[in-house]
Amino acid sequence: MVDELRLAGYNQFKYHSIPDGFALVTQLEEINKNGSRKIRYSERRTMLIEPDVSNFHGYIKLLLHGKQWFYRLNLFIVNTHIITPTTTKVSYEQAADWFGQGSLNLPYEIKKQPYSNHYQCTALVYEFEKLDIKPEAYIKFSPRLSASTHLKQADLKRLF
Amino acid sequence: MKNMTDCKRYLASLWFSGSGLLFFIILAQSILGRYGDRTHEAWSWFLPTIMPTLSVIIGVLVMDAIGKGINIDEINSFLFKLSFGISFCYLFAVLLVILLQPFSSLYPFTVMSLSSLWLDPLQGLVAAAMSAFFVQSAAPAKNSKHKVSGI
Repeated sequence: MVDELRLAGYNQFKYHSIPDGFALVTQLEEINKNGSRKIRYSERRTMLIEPDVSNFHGYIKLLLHGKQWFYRLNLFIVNTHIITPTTTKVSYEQAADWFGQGSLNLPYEIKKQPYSNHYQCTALVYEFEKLDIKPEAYIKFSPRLSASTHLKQADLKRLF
Repeated sequence: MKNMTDCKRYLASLWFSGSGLLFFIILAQSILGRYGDRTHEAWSWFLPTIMPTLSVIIGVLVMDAIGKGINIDEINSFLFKLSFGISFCYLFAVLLVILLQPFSSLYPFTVMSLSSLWLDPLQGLVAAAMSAFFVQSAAPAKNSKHKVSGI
């Protein structure tokens, strides 16, 4: 999994211990509207990438619709439990904390366990949207694309 | 030398064309959801920037239309040019607040809020120049060729 993530350009990820397994979380990344990754994000820039206003069409689009930024965070859960999706919304700050508070390495106790058929890997993809008219609200939860589309656009489809 | 009626029409044309352009840009933005649930804030910023002067101009035009307006044959061209020039600068400054949004790294409502720094003084100058221009026509002056229409 780690090799595939690195191959897809994810160089930073963190681990969390969960009952009977672990969770791997990737860094929040800025994405395009179709889910593809922003090229310059690989340079690990923390500033927002300003939308393109180099042509008239782009200018009119921004004038009438405003600026939008999209972010994605991938969470991979490996354990023996059944994952049940809930409707609980996750804030941008919470998602950022998942990465910030995770550990750099997988604990040895977990690493030494064999990966048997009892284990399953579940991918949870969180997408966020930021609008330029809401600096205080910052980012809202907006599931526009399916998880499958996200994984495909993130070059992680081979994992599943 | 232009007469009073022409000058009023020039000023009215400038204000109605400038305000109309701004109105339709903000209307399109509102319909397309550019300001989200804060659309009322955008209009709350825009309307006070143009309505006071437009109201004055409409009032003058209505007075002329019903024959109660004051007309003089010769007007002070300097006052007219001053009113026209300041009005143009003011409307252009309001237009820039909207048109430069895509290039700005600031949030649109931050720019609108900041714009009071330069728009408020300009609006004061517009009001002063317009008042001076319209008052000159109402003030009785020696040797002036008053022609009060409708009376």
